[in-house]
Amino acid sequence: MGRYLARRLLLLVPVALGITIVTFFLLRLIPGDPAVIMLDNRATADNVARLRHSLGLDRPLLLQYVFFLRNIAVGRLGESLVYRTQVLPIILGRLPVTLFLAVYSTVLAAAVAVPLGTWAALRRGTSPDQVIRLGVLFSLATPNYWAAIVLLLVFSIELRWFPVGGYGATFGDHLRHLLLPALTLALSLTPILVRTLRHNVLEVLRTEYIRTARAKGLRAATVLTRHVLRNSLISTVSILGVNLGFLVGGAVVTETVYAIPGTGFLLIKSTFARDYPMVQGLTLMFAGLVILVNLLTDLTYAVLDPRVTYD
Amino acid sequence: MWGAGKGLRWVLAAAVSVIIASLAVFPVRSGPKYGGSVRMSLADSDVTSFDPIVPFDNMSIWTMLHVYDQLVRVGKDGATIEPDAADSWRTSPDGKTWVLHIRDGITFADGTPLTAADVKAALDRAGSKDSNFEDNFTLIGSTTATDAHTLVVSLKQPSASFLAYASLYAASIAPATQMTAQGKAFWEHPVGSGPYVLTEWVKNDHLVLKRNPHYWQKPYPYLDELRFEVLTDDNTRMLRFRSGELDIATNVPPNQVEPLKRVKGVTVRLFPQMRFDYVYYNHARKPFGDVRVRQALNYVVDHQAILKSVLYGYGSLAGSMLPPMLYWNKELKPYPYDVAKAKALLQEAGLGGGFSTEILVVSGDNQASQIATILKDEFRAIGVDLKVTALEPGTIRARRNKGDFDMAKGYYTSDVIDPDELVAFGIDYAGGAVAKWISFKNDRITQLSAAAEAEMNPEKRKAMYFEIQKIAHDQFAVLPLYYADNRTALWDSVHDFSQLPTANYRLWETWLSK
Repeated sequence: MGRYLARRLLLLVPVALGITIVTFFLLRLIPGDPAVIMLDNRATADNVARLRHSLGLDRPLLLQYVFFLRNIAVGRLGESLVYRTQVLPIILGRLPVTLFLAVYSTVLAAAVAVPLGTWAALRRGTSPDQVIRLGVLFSLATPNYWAAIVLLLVFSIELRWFPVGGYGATFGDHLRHLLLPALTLALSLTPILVRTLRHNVLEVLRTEYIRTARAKGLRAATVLTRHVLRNSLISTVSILGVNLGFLVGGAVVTETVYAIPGTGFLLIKSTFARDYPMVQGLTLMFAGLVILVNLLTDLTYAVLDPRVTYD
Repeated sequence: MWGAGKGLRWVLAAAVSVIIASLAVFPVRSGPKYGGSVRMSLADSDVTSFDPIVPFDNMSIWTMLHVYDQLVRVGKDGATIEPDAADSWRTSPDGKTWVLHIRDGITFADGTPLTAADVKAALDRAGSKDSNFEDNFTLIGSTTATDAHTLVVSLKQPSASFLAYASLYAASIAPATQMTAQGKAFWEHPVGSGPYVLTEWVKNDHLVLKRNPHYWQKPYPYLDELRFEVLTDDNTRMLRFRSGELDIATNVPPNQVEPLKRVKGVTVRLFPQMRFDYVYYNHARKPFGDVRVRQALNYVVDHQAILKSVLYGYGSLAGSMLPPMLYWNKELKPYPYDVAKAKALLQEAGLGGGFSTEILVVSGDNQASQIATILKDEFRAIGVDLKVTALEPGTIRARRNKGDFDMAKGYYTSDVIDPDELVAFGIDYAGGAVAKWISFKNDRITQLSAAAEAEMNPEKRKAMYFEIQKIAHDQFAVLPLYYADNRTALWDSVHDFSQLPTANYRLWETWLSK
């Protein structure tokens, strides 16, 4: 296990290097010059040249890349072209918000999906199953931004139960402020989880070892928790893992509608402004997180299934 | 006598009842109250910098104006200059030397006195090579602080627009010694002499400004705290406002003005501003080089219908390329809607069969895409096939600057009361901006623009600016759309809020009654 972990962590280095190359050069392939964007209405040739020089954008591209790497080596991600201050503190200030939201929505989704998915499978073909499957279809077909606005109109404007946006200061505040956004995200995650779980439970129910367990006279509840669920959860966990990675940078719509100061929102704004260092920093951070979550997912397999070992 | 006494009692009784009745009809408005925190949206973007010589975005500029003073500032009417750090000034007969007196007793928020040396440093910095606004200050030859309260500015040539530029945010005053000692770090925690002090800035989320206890202009500021929330999404901003989590919501989408007005306790205010919205075409590309084609494209458009359907009428139709401001030529009328004439003009230009062209709009810009869709529909009447292409803003700007476009939607606003800035930006090819991007080159305009800047006689200047606007109008340089009003929603607890024609606001005059 220890050796496996070390190997996986070591692998991070070449992957991260690859990511820096891709993001650095891909970003610069997008048409649009940060100086022109920043100057906007004042983008005369003289002003553009001056700003490009002061931002260091007139240096050869390779040299800029070397500077970028050198910065990373000393733990700096560079200076934002828009804010002209270090990128890292800005990103670190927002990461907790996004992580909180990602975990919150995942927990909500799992809390709803596991019972529903299992129930639908156990009652296959009956009316509860039909209702759940219909609900899944609806939830899957609901666009995120629409759900967000409807939730806001009902729970924040009419009922005034929850604030419209923001993040709050204390843990309790976070839970309250982020409930609607987390619910919005969970709305699109839950149906996927319910479907896979239902499918997996049905498959496991047909296996020989379940028949054996039942034949041994184990109680139905024990069969369900120790044998059926445990074996069905493996693919659910992979979906959760992939999704968590996605949520870190991909919850843009939700973050925008609820005005949550998260990283997805920052990524979009920075891309529009061609704030290269900020986008690079964020991408690197996301990549690191995705790798970390994948690693955790892999380790969870071993916990769920004793046959999985890492050596 | 007695009789008179009885009569007097009647009179008295009548007078008292009139007073009571009038009190009921016209309740006495309680005066401004101190204290409280106002929450307001930043609708365009986050603030990007508090270094006056850096940012171009209005959010930075308008926030900065609460933190710093300038020598002088734009008056509330948007047409005059009023004292700020300087309380009086005089100019030499040749118009080249300005002597300004710096207000007595003015201090920075940390209590250190503001002197002429600080003002000198601000002006010098604004006109330095590092400044993004160098162009606006090239007219200054030298600045000298002759004593703590006197600043002498020598201009290279007489300039009528000197005071207008001195009011520009780029020349905001900061304590010179701290500024030089701390370098760039100073602007992260800036100190100014304005009514408020920056205390918190969570990038891309919110900013908090607290009152400056040393502010010179009594009785301001009323509010203890200003909280600016970055809310660029229209729906989010309006929902935040409706829920009561915002006191002031800026940039109300035109279609939400009426519904908001019906909400109890909400007022939507319209403030005229110096803003011009237009569609531009590339004169360097065929067939836009032909004035008859540009004319035809203007006549085939029902400008009134655009104003009504896009802005819901919250603005006025544009004739001149300058918005209503000093020396605005109001004789220039919007081009009329005349399809037959448009057809004839296109025929005359040898394009009777029409042509195909493309308009670039920023994806997500609802107003621009509505305008493009209307144009597409109306152009069809003269056989012009308009393709609407939505692109991300950075790409559009890159193509605009390279001249790689047929048509696009644009707008500009003025930061100063003098038309010099907008003429250079919008109409004069030598200004290097709009006129250059669209390849609209007119030597007479360039000549007039340079002459007007140096002319000290207001009547003569006016004639020059009138002519500049008339040439651009006669040449159909662009397709003018409208002068849009600023639409701002306020809860009734917010008092004395207004937006100047330069679109900035003075929150130090605002107070809350809740």
